[in-house]
Amino acid sequence: MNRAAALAASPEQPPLLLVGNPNVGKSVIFGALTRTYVTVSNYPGTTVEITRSRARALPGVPEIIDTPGTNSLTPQSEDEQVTRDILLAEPDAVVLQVGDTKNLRRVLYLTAQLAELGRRQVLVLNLQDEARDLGVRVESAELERRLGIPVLPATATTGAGLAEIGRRLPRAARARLECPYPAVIERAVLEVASVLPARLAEARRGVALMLLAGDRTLAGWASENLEGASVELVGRLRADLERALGCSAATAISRARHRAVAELLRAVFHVDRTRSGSLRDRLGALSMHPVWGIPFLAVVLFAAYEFVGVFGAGTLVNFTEGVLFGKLINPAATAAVNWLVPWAWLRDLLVGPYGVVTMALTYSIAIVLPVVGTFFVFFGVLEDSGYLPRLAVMVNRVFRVMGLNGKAVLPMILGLGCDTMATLTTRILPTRKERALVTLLLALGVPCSAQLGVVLAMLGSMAPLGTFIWGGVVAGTMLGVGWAAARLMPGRGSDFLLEVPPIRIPGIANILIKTAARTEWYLKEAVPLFVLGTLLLFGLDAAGVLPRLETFSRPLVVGALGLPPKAADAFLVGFLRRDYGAAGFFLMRRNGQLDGIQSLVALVVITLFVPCIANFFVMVKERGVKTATAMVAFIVPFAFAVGAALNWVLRALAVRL
Amino acid sequence: MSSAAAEPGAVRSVQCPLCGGRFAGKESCPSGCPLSANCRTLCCPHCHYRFVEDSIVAGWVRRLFHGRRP
Repeated sequence: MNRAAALAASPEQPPLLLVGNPNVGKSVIFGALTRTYVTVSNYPGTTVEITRSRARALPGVPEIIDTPGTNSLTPQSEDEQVTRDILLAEPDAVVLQVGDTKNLRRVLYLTAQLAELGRRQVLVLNLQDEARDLGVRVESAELERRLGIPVLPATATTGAGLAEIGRRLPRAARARLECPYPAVIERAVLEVASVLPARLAEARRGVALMLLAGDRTLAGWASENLEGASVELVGRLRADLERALGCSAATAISRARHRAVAELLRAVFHVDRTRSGSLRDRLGALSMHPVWGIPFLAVVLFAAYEFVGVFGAGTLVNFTEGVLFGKLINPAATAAVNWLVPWAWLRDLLVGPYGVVTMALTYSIAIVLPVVGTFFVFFGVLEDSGYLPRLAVMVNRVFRVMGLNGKAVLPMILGLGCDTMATLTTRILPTRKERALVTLLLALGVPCSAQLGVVLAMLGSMAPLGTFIWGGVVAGTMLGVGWAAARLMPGRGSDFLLEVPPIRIPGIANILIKTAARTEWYLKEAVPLFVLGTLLLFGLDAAGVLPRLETFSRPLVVGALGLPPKAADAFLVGFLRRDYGAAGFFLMRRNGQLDGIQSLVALVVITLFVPCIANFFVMVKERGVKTATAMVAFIVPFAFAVGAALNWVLRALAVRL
Repeated sequence: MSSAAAEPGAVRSVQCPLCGGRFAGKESCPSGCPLSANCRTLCCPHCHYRFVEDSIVAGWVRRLFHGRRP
């Protein structure tokens, strides 16, 4: 509570506290009410950011604080604890609760807890537009009458309803939302409240309930603010309660709140089932069902395979590589360079076997861009349809089996876009061990968008069995390494709470905008690395090192992996970017230099490589040189070992791909 | 990645592609990638998902569709 007290900086007039569930548009309302410079600072003693500013749109309100989104005042995360602590530190502050109209149950649960803390409040029911689209109707006038507080329908993104906030704020009051707690709880609440500090005033009932519910985050506060005997009293009362109730006090308290909320919902919340998109609802539920979600995922992957692997890598690349670059650009560039450039080395540098035009630009623009472009379109559809959070739910189940923290799902999903960004996002994981483990798994086996596109392109040229084997080996490797690492590095697991939005019909404009943004990002980031890799190969070839490298790596590349010696070039540039290496194998496959087994082995090895040089730098930045180097030292030989084992097994079984 | 700004005083909002949450998309967060310092990404404050928000080409496409957007 000391850190909470440290935040309370304005003793004269209390601030307005913006409180609400996550994802309800609080920040948009905050922006509309302040319209000015904001101060963003970490909440004392935490990494949680708090935004505060003068409330220009609300005369008489000195300051407005945007608290972290919370589902309950019994905190499950550091963010939620900060919100609870701010509420306790600012006992006189009026609360502007923002809620999602569609999820009124969650909104009112929080309202009930705010009422127990004796807070004066106004309730803004935001996202009215989305609620209308789903056929949800809330009788806000009736809700206002029953709760006895101003209830304001709003759509913050358009500004609708926000002008009412300033007008109705003076009528803020404590909500009348009484929860029917069993008599034993009521008696215990009275007893605990009697030993709480008087300065808590009307918040005493709420704090007593928190203590009786066994809120561990209040243990420090209790030891600082209560007599030892009072702490013992709370513990004894809680134990007595649990014996009398036959369940935990927290469960009984939560049930009573839900009953009160459910009763209120029956009176004011209506859903027009004919407008609520029942087919989409069913599809949404199916896509994350523990059993049916798997064939659903298979259908999604098959669609990706057809669109990216067959259409992108087949039809489009046939045109860009076969016609555009093969018959027009490269011959024209070669003729122009031969005519204009007198120096042989420069001609080679531009249009030779390791030429900037004939290799770097051909690989990056003619081969990878169409493949990656189609993958970006597909990924945009996944994002815009609302499937990604459902995929996160599916992945979370696997992670729980592995014993990993549920929050680890997010970097994994992000990694499908960009492993570098995903590695940065491992910061949200609570322990150093988990951050290291997820960084390792990302670097080991999560292909980024560019690489996944090229992988799908190569898989498109093989029998379907190749896709199953590739998926099985990569997923199995991830599971095995993740499971073993989780055993070696045990950490406390936690739930991953993620809002799952409804399934939506993807918008063409949205998908094109996202694809354009990502394509530009790819061109800016990848093409220079392709050029750098080509220059590296050109330099090594000119110095006579490349043939020697190929000879040196022959036991590994040819002997163990069963690949042609030229595959060493692709592995070499694969250190810069995995998709560059994969593009090399793609071209070798198209030119008939790799058979099915060789293609699959090459693909598995390059998938298990470190994603790109940028990812390595971020690993160093986030985990330190020692850890990052150790990871790479594990990943590279491990990738080759898996590839060698796969080659041996496939050849022993005489698998035809 | 949708946005809306219809009435004066309204703040342009961005929809997170992962959790569907809306937030004020005024400021981009650094991508953190040493090779693309100018890569304009947004971080969802709710679920921490990061995504590429804007670019020159995306701006053209956005303007192309502007009249057709709700």
